[in-house]
Amino acid sequence: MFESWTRRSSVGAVFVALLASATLVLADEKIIPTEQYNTEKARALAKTYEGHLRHLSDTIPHCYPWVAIQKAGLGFRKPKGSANDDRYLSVWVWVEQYYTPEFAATPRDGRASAMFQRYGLDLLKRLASHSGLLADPSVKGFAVVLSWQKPVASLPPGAQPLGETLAVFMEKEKVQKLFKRQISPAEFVKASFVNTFEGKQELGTIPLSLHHNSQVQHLVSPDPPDASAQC
Amino acid sequence: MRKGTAFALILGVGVLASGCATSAEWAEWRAHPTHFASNQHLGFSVRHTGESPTPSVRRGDIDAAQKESWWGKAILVSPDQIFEN
Repeated sequence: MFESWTRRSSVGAVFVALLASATLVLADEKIIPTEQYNTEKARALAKTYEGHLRHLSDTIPHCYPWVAIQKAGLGFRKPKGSANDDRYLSVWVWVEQYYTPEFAATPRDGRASAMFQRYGLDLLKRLASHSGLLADPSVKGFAVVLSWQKPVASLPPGAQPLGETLAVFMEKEKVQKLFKRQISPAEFVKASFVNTFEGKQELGTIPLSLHHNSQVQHLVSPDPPDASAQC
Repeated sequence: MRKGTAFALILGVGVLASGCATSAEWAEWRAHPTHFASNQHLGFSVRHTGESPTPSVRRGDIDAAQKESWWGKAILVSPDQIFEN
């Protein structure tokens, strides 16, 4: 009896260990591997804030089941073409979104603003939730990159689906001021670097329109997140 | 009479040829033999038919849409167009 219980426990423990290691691998895929960084500064940041990166990698998919972090989408990157080694804690997500007809009919700038208002600001809060990182002079700021499928209604019939991408780089002092309401959303946008893409084509900056505590009516999301996810 | 038959024949071949798919189109069709990726995709579509349907999106729909590429595989910017490591 005891032997049987012990054997079952052992099998269970092995199963749990396998499951845990599989989860770990999946979580790791979302975080940029340290060896892929080109500078020692970036590698040091990745090591120092490994726990925060893992926490983000674990919580974001639970808190937003309709958002998927891209492979190697989480880490300390710098904007393309940056002369300095300025590092931004960055997250790149794909938003799997059901579009209302109103959203599909909204122009590109409006779609990007709605996406950032709905997902970007909250992701930004999560990135900036580490007090040590906020005080670290090696970290320049934060970057949120959102990709979603361009509404089919705005594509020619039979065309391959296109992803729309909004990339926003923000200095951490401005982010803190935004959340403390010391600057307006308009001032915040003005101080940020905004870039957009359609498919692989770079479209450049757009005038983002953000508001404090505004609900985005035209983006419908599925069920609320798990209560157990502690979001 | 003979001229008329030849004309009809050429016209018939032309019509048939224009209706045929290319090998690439056949390959695409074979990869997606049904309009819906799954029963869940069909169910989602049925729930959202009509002029202005009331959206009803379940978490399982989002998971399935990602796994089964309900909306097709979108062309997306590559990371090195945005970032440097």
